[in-house]
Formats: sequence, structure tokens, C-alpha cells
Amino acid sequence: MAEQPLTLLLIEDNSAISANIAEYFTPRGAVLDFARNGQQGLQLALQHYYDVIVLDLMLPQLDGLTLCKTLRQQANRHIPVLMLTARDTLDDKLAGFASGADDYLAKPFALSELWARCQVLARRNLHQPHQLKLGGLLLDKQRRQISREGKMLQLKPICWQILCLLIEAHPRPVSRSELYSKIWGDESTESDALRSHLYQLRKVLDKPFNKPMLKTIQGVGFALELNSNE
Amino acid sequence: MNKAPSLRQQILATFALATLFIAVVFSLTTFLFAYHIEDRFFASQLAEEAIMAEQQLAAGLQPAPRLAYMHYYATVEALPSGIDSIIKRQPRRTEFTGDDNQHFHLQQLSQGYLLAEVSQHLIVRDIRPLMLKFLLLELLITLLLTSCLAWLIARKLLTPLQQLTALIGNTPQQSPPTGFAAKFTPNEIGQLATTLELSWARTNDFINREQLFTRDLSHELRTPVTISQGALNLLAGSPLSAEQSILVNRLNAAQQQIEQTISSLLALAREQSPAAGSCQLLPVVETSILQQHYLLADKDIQLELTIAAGSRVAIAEAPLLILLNNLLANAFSYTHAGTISISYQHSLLTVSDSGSGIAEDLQSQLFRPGSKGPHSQGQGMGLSIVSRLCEKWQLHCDIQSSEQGTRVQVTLPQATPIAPLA
Repeated sequence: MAEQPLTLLLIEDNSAISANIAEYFTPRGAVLDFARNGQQGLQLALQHYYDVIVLDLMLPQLDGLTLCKTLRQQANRHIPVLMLTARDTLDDKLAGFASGADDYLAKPFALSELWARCQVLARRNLHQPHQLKLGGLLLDKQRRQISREGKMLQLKPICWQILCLLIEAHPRPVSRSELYSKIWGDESTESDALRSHLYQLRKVLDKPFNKPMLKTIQGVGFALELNSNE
Repeated sequence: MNKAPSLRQQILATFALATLFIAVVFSLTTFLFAYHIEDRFFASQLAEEAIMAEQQLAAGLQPAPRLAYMHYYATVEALPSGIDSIIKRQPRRTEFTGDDNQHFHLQQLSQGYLLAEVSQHLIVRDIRPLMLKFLLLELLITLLLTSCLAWLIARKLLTPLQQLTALIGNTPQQSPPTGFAAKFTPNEIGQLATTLELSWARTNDFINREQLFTRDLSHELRTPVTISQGALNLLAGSPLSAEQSILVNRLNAAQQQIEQTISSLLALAREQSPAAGSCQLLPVVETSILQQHYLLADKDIQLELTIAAGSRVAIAEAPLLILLNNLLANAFSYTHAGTISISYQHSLLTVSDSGSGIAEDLQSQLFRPGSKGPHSQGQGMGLSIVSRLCEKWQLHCDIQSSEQGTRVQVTLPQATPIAPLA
């Protein structure tokens, strides 16, 4: 059965921000509705079904906090709301949550983060392709396979985890501490553990090829570097 | 600060000391007055007898005083021993103390002297212990009364002052009280309450204006930055040529710098201090290095990091990242080759570089906004922002610079380690 697309209502008065979000979300399989003011946003939210509502805080006619409170009172189901705002103080965040928001993202934000949070809120992993392509890398999470330039890479579990984390974070570099905490959590590990896994990963990922992909940044972080033509 | 004695204690002590002083002066005056009356009594008796004696002398008779304690002496030499020698030295003296508690009053006649030995008639000497007892009792009663009075006055004066202090002390900073001055009697304390209320209201207005201003500023600056960040995200995800990638990277770096500057300046502009918290230092330092590493591109720089993996510091992650980003951006920008080391030991975060150091004439102006070295490409605000953030968040910051490089040290108190769950 074909999976339903993620339906999203974007209540944002700034058309340029809306256009950016739409351009990022649509190719990933989301269907968007737009509202330019609070009143229109509330009407749409109450009349139609949406998986997630992305709500700006400062809106004409009806501000985001009031809209969210009214929505919670009038809607017959809990619609996940992610609040977007250019305010960043703790008080602002608390006011957002007090009005009934499920999540809060301060501007400026990375579009990838907004996409990830919307998917979490919709409790769906929609259109998360089992196959992910990054430069010459092709990751198939379902089959637990990864290839570079068509050549299958045989990776041990920890190396697989490290590479998945780097692919998902790309182009952002991932710090040593972040890798430790995502792989081993709070368990204490030997300080050299990561080094030996990275050595193993390089042996499989980079050694057989002309150009290395795994780049160390100042000894504290790692990122995947793509060729300019990739 | 040493605590001064309370106003209540000072008022009580002042009243008691004043009462004591007045009582002593009064007692001395009483004694002086009693002795003076007594002396005047003996002097008048002697004067009366002297008139009689002069008449007797004029009649060629030997003066014979009527009062038993008075005697006539024809010459100085005839006077009791001791008195004759004093008279020779001080001929005008009329009162003498003799042996065995004897006391004399002398009246000179045209021929000879009339001498009264009054020791058996001295009333004041006899009643002196009684007078002392009476005065002491009087002193104690007066002292008790004035202390009660002082306590009442102190209470009347200090109670409204204590109420005002309690009102100020118990008031949360976010919601200062209004209309409290009207509850105080319109005397000096009432005036103080009115002045406090007015200045409180002014401060509150100022804070409200500041919050509205930073909120508007945050919105007005962050909205266009969000648009450019989104557009850059989309651009970076589209197929790009090598030249276009370089331009996008440059735009990304500038984008990051703008975001960082907005966060830092808003943090400085806000009246509010960041919420208390703690975080692991190493991950935040690593994040900051990764966010600033574009500043090290194409430079031959060795980065040394000496921070224990478990170190926790008593500052929340967001403000720490703002501080570190400014600190590292500064070190990364102004070091062109060599080593930059970042360490944390004994609650001191040290960032030192082997750069060319800060020019001597600039060192004294380091913390002024707009101070710029000859090779600086920034707005000359890096270290000024670092020092102002430290000052605002009450962190000690020390900067040493020589030709061998610059060392910045920030005191970051260690956080109490989180106890494992039982």
C-alpha cells in the first residue's frame, strides 16, 4: 500500500521563509498548505486534516500563542504544533509550551532540522528513503548495505554506525563527543576505541579509492567530503 | 562587610550615655551646692562673732567667742600647728583641713584671728553616703525610664523602615510591587518609600523597554537571516560547480558569523542573566571549534586540546557556546601559523596562541569596543565582546599578550558532578 504523504499547514506571514520551506519539503514528499495570517491559519487548521502545523509566533490578525491556545480548545483532536519564532529567551520558549505547542524552533534554523522535527511530531518516518545517496555513496538501511562508486563496503557494526551518523549529518561535521555519546551513550569506553574504529572505517571507505572522503577537522570532528562534481 | 551596630542599639546606647552624663553632672552640682551652703553658714557665724570680738578688742578686752567651737588667737604663731605656716604663705586663705578629720574656718580680726573648728558640725560630710545612695537610685530609675523611652522611639522610627526593607527583600525581581509608598506615614520614611517606588517604576519601565527592543531587534534581524539560511540550505543541496561551491561555502561562513554576532549582541543587550545551569565542557568546546574551523582554512596551525572528558562547568550550554565562539573566533582569526591550545585546569579555561600578540599600545584599550590590530579584518569587537560577556555573567577574564602570542584565561567554576541514581 502506498504511504500517504505528510500533510503540513504552514502558518507564516513571511513569503520568502514559506517558499524556502516548501522547496525543501515538497521533493521529500510533503503536501503543504499555507496561511499568511493567524485567522486564516486557525480556520484551515480546524477545517482540514494536517499531520503537523508549523506556526510562526508573530502573525498579523491573531498571534501564534493565541492561535495555539484557541486551537487546543476548539480542535477535536491533538494536532502536533511546532512553533517557529525569532524570539529565543527562555521566557518566550516557556510561553510557547504553555500555549500548547509540542515543539519549538528558534530562527534561524536549518531546513533539515525543521524537516526532521516535523517527521518526529507526525510520528511517522515518511519518505525516509531506505536508499540514501550522498556523492558516490549509496546507503541502503533496510538491507544494511553501503556502496561507494558501485563497490560494496564491508563494515563492522560500529563503523556502520559512524558512517550512518556522518551521512545523516552531512554537511555538518560531527564532533568526537557527539559520536561517543550517540554510539556508546553514557557507557564508559576506552579513549582509543573511536580511533581504532575510524582507522577500520578509513581502511574500507577510503583506502581502495583515489580520493579519501572521511575528513578529520582539527582533531575534534569528522565530516564527509564530496568531490565538487559529486 | 563588617556589620555595624543596629540603629536600635545605637539609639538605646545614646540615650543611656546621655542620661549617665546628666546624672553625674547633676550629682556633682548637688554636692558642690551643699558644700557651698555649709561654708556660707560657717562664714556668717564667724562674721557675727568677729563684730563682737572687735568691740571687745576696742574695749581693751580679750575677745571671748560665744560659740564653744570658736577660739581667739592673738598672733599667727599662736594658731594650731600647720595653719600658721599656711597663713604665712597664703594670707587670704580662710579654710583648712587639720589632723584627725579636723576642719577649720578662719576670720582675721584687726588684732589676731578668730578660728572655728567645725568638724563636729559638718552636716554634708555625715549625709554624704546617704546622698550618694539616693542619687544612685535616682540614676537607675532615670536610666530605666529613658531606656524605655528610647526603645519606644526606636520602635516608632524603625518599624516602618523594617517594613520597607522586608518589602524590598521579599519582592521577586520580575514583579516589583506598586502603590506601596501610600501605606507609609508621609514623613522622611514615607518620602524614602515614594522615592524607591518611583525609581523602581523607572527601572521597570527601562527593563520593559529593553525587553521590547531586544525582542523586536531579534525578530527583525533573525527573519532575514532565516530566509538567507534557508536559501543557502537549498543552494547547497543543488548541483554546484567547484567555483559555485567555494562561493556557497563563503556565504555559509558569513551566515554563521552573522548568526553568532546576533546571538552575542542580544545576550549582551539583555538585562537578564542566563538561567543557571551546568554542562559538559568538552562537547561544547568541540562544537565551537567545528563551528569556527572555517577560520583556520589554509593556515598551518596545530590545535592542542587538553580538556578531561568528564569536566562539567557551572554555566548553561547556550551562553557557554556564545562565549567560546567569540573566544575561539578571535584566536583562530588572529593566528596565522603555529599552535593554538585550549585547556581546562583548576577551573581555568585557557586559550593561548602563538600569534604575533597584541600591539603594546592596543593592550590597554583591549576591552574597548572598536579596538583593532593592524591585521584585523573584523569589526574590532571580538575581545571586547568576550570581556563584556564575562563581566555580565560574572566570570573572571584575564588577557596576557606578548610577541610570543596571546593567552586568554576565563574562570569557569566546576559544576558539582551529577550523583548517579541509586
